[in-house]
Amino acid sequence: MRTKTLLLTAALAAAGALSSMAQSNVYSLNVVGYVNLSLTNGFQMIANQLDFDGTGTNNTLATVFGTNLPSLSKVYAYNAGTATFSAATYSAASATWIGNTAAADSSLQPGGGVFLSIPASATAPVTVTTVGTVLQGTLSTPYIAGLNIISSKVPIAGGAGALGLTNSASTLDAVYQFVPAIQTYGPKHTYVATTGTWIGGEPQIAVGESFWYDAHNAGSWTVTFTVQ
Amino acid sequence: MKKLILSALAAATSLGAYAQGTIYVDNTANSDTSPQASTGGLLFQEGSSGTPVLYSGAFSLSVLGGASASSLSPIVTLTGATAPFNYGGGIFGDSTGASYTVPGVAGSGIATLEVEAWTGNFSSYAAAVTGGGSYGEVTFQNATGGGGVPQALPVDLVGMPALILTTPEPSTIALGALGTAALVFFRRRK
Repeated sequence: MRTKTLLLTAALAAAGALSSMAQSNVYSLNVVGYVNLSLTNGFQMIANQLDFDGTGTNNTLATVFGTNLPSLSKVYAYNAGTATFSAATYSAASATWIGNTAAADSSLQPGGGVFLSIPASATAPVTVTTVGTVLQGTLSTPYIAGLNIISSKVPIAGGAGALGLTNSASTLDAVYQFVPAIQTYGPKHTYVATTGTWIGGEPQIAVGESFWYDAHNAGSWTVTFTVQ
Repeated sequence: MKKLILSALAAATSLGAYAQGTIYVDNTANSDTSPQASTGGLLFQEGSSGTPVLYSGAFSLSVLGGASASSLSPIVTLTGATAPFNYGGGIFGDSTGASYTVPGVAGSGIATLEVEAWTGNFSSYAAAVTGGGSYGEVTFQNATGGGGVPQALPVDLVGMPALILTTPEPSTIALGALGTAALVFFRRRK
C-alpha cells in the first residue's frame, strides 16, 4: 500500500474572528490533512488515522470513504471480544453500505482497523483519499489480551518502537501484517521485552495500515503526539 | 446487482476452497509446564536424574506435516545459521517468523505435524539419532490458518505435546566393550 500524506496547519478563521471580537483570546489550532490510500484488488488491512470532527469517535464508512470505493467493496470489522468478523458491502449505485455498518464504523475510529476488500473487477490501484483532523495530545489505543486489529493514531510511518507500540508491549506479544501484493501474511514479529528486540524483525508500519496485535496481557498503546 | 453479489460470493468461496493450511513454527502461545502435557507443550531435556527439565539451550528443529500421519512431508528444517530461537522456559520458534504451508491440508483445516528436535552439530534428525545427540520427536494434530474470509492467521504449534530431548542409552556394543575391558582387567589382577 503506497501512501502519501500531507499535513496542513490551519488556524481556524472562525476562532480567529471570534477572538478578535472577544476580550479573552481563545484559539483553536487544528491540524488537518489527507492520506491517499493506494488499494489493490483483494484484501488489505487499513486504518483511518484522520478524525472527522476532532472527537475521535464519530467516523463512519461515509465520512472515511465517501463515494470513492468501487461497488461491492467490502469492509470486514473484527470484534476482539467474540473473535468474529462482520461485513458491510458498498453499493455504488445507491451510494450506500449494506450489512453491519455499526461494527465497521466502530473499527474506523483512529486506533482501529479493518480488512478492506476491493473486487477483482475494479481497476487497480484504487486510490481513496481520506481527510480529517490529526489527533494530538496523549493518544491511547486500548487492546485486550489476545488478538486485536489496531493501528497507530498518528499518521506517520515507522517502526513499532518509534511509533510507541513497545511502550506497553509485553514479552512475546506478536504483530502480524497482511501483505496485499501476495494476499497473505508476512513474517510473524515477536517482541522480547527484556532486550527490546523483535524476533522476525521489527515491524514497519505504513501510514493508513492496521495490523493484528496478539497481546499476552491487556493494555493500552499510549503515545503523546504534537505537530511541531 | 444480485448476479454480481452471487459472483463475488462464489469467487470468495472458491478462493477459500483452494487455500492451504498455514502454520507458524513456534510455541510462544504454549504454557503447560508439565512434561506430560498433551497439547500446549514446551521443550524439555531429560535431566541427570531422568526428570525432564525445561530446556533453554541451542538446538535444531525439523517439522513435517500433512493431512495424516501416513502422508507427512518435510516442511522446514531449522539448523545451523537458521537454528530456532530459544526464548527460555521451553519456548522456541523460527527466528525468521516465516509462515509455512502444510501440504495436502485445506486452509484452516486440521493438519498432522511431526516436530523433531535435536542438539549437537548434526545436519538432520536422523544424523542426531545415530550420532548420539539428545533428540526427541512428537506427532500431533494442529489447527492451521489460511482459510476463511478474510484469511485466517497461520496457527502456532498450539497442539504440540511436551517435547522431551533424551540422551540415548549407551549402545549394546559400548556396554559389551566395557564388560570385556572389565573382565580383562580383573583376570590380570588374579
